[in-house]
Amino acid sequence: MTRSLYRSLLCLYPPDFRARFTDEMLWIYDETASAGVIPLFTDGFASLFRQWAQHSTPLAAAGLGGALHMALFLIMILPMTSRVPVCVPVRRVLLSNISAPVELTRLSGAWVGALRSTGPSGPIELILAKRGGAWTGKLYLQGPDGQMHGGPLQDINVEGDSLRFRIEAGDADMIFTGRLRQGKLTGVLEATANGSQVAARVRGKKVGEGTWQMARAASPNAAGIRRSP
Amino acid sequence: MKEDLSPFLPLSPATLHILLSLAGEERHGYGIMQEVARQSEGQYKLGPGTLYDNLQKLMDQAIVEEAPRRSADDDPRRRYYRLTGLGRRILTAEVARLEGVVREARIHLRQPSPRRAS
Repeated sequence: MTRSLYRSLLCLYPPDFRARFTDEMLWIYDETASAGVIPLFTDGFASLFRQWAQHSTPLAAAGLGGALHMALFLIMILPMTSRVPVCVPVRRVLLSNISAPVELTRLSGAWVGALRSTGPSGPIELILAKRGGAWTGKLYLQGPDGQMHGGPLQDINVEGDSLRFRIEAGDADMIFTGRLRQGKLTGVLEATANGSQVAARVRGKKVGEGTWQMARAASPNAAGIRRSP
Repeated sequence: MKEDLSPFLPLSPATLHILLSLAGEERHGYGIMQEVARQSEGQYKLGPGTLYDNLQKLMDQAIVEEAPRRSADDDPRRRYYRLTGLGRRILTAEVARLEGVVREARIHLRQPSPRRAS
């Protein structure tokens, strides 16, 4: 519970600071929380204030006000949630407590990384959410036009830290299988066509296989690559 | 030409402790916190927020830099930091300044000022 609160607090930092240090701060929290969390929160709030104060523009001042507001709001509503929220779903957490129930897990949120395969290779972004017991999500891959093209995830299967899902790409299926290890999602890709795996050959033509790795993103479209409409 | 380090001095207590903790070897964030607590015999405790506020500033000023990971097996959340050449010179200058302060303090504490005649 307190870890969730601390993680939410870290989500309120300016994006550049968050991207640089959030993982480390959370790691230190994990190492030191057993000795008492009050000093960690006191230090966290003071640091949060300093960070926003450094961005001394009216916009930053508004951001500071908003961040502190959100901090108070999170403190009030987070006892209603049971799992750890991540930065990207903060808005989702807030909204979900108003509308539909959302289950927050270690895998939910935004992930960015790279795909290397015999077919498409390049930046990759995954958005995962669990609502009412069902997983939903979208995967973005970089197309030949340089833009990110997204497709809905299908047949999503999550067991513990293991993840498997499928997306349709033309007449082929791309099956992603991966696992969360040390904060990173890594796995393999197998493209299938007509129900046959392409790790073997399909109609004498290999469609594709590859590997992928992703780390948690501070925000959706963290790579900043233009998305196809 | 002598380098002018005066814009960096005096160092704040947090900055001084962080630079001191990195003077001997590179350390990760938690290692810095532990070393600061050890050096100050537990009197100065650095929280992660204060630590990374300072590390951000020190890295932006090229006083501290990120060091390569020690091994591929290391926890990916664990990043190592070390002093740059500039950082070491600033720390040396600060220690010299503090030595002057301590010297002055000792002189004055040994010679109590005469009481005013009533």
